[in-house]
Amino acid sequence: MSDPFEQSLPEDLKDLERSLSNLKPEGLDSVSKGRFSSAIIHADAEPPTEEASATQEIDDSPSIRTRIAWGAWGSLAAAVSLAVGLNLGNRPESSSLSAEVAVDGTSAEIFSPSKIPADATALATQSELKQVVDEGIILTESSSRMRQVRTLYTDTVSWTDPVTEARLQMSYDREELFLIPIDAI
Amino acid sequence: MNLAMAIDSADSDSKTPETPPNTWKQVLEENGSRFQLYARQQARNDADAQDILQEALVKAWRASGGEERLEVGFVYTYIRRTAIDWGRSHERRQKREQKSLRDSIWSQPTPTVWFERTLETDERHRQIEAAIQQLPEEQQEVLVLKIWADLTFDTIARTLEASPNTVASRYRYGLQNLKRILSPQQES
Repeated sequence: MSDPFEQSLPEDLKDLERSLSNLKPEGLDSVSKGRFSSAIIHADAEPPTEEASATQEIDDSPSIRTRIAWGAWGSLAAAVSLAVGLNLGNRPESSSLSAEVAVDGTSAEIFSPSKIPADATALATQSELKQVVDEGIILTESSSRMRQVRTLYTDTVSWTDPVTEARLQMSYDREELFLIPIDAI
Repeated sequence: MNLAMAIDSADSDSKTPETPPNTWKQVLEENGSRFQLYARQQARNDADAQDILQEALVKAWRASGGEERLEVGFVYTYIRRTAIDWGRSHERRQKREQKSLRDSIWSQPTPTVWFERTLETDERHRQIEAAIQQLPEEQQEVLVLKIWADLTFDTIARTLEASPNTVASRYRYGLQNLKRILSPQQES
């Protein structure tokens, strides 16, 4: 399509224009492509809110996480394993521990370890850092810029039932999202 | 053709029913290098250019409706606006920290590579990049948007919030200045 505002250029400038147009802009490398795609995907999945503020750690309780996102992290789906031989059905449901698993809105299912014995004793907890991803800059609705850093841990908690001496071990992935104000850097 | 007609013409072109919808992945694949070039032209260094481009892509994607579509024109507009915001933020930060930053590398713009280079073309491309970067900012951005982003003067005008005639004049002056800068180098 011809440009209605195109001016007639002298021949020497046309030559220069042609030679310039032969230069190819340097292409996007795969890291940048991945980074930008990830930014759009995450902007889609998690629209930033004004609640995000100064060096805020979302859902950062050191204790057992109650929400585990795994829709977008399908390959990192939470693994919950129960030790063999524990008769869960007869135990009172009085534990305060409750884990809601799968929060992507399409395939949500509830894992409720409320059947863990009330008098079960936690033997050990372990938290392993699996992945840290710098997802670059995001914009909050108030137009402040934050650097988004996503971390993925695998937490493992072991219990023992003092009555039956049965052991239960539960492990699951936990995701943390840090929003760090750019001006604070 | 007057401005109103030009805009009508551009709008009717964009509404051509045969035009397939541009998914953001397609747009990024096909125009990523152009976006990157414009971001580099607008930014002080490559790291800033990457951050500006990312921010602009997300804003443009939201402005395009937030689903699969991504309007190419929005991306250029948001690259420019984001770069202006970053420039202001940089100035504020620099004022706060002027003393400590005075001699640091952070206070200086760092050169970026704009074009693909080969052994044969390396020196020539370097000269052209340097020459373009000597032009006034407003001429640089028009050259980048016209030649490498392949936008019409009308689209460039909307991106830069200027009149198409102004943009066309900047383009012409930019080429003239570039020729003047490059001529002694060619002779030598």
